[in-house]
Amino acid sequence: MTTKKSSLVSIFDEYSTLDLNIRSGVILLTVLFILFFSSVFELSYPTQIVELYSVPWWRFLVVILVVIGTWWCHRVGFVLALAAFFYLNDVHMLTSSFVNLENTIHQ
Amino acid sequence: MSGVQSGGVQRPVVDEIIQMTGHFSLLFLVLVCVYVSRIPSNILYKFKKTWVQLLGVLGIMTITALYGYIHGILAALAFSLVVSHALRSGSEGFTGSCDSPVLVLDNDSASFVPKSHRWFSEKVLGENPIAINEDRVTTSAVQDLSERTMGTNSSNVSR
Repeated sequence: MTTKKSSLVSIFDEYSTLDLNIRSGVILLTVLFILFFSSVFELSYPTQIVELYSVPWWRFLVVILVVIGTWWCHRVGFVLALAAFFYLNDVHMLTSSFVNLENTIHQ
Repeated sequence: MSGVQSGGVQRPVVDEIIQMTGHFSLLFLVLVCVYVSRIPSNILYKFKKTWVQLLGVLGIMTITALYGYIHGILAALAFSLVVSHALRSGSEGFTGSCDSPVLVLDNDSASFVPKSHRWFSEKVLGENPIAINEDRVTTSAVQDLSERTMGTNSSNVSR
C-alpha cells in the first residue's frame, strides 16, 4: 500500500515537472516570437497570419488562446497577451490607410 | 425536512452578482479585443485624455481584484488595444461630416463657425461646418539657405 502511494506521488511529481517544463517551453517560445517578430519592425510577420488578421474568427481564436493560456497559468497568459497585443496592434497599423499614420506623426 | 438546506455559508449578494456578471464581462472583453477597430471615433477620442487612461488602469486593477487573472489580463489587453487605436486615430477636424461632433467640440482650440460670415472656400465647396479646430495658419516665405544657392544669389546681385 505504501509502495502504491509512493508511486502515485512520484507520477504526480513527474506530471508536475512535465507541466512545469511545458509552461516554460511555451513562455520561451512566446518570448522568442515577441523578440523576433514584434520588437523588430523591419522583420515582418509571417504572411499567413497577416492575411488571416482580416478574418474575425482568427482574432477570436487569438484572444481565446490568451484566455486559455491564462486559465492554465497566469504567467503564460501574461506573455501570450503581450504577444497578442503586439500582433493585433502591429498588423492593424500595417494594414490601415496612410492617412491615420500621417496624423499620428503630426500629433 | 430533506428539502431544507442546512449548513454551508450564506454568500453575500455582491459575490453572487460578481459571479453572475463574470461570463458577460469576459464576453464583452473578448468582443472589445476582436472588434477594436469598429469602436466609434468619438468614444476612442475620450481615451486620449490622461485621466481616462488613469481610470482605465484603476479599472483593470479593480477587475483583477473582483474577477481574477483571466479577466484582468483580458481587460489589460483590451485597454491597451483601445488606447493604442485612440492614439493612432486622428481626425482632420474639417471633414465636412457631422457624425462625430464631439470630436471637434471637445478640443480646447475649437471654435464655432458663424453662419453669417462664411469663407470663400466654404461657399464654393458647399461646406457647412459647425466648428473648426484651427482657423489660422502661420506661414513663412520660402528661403533657400543652402550655401550653393546663396553663392548663386550673390553673383546675381553683383551683376
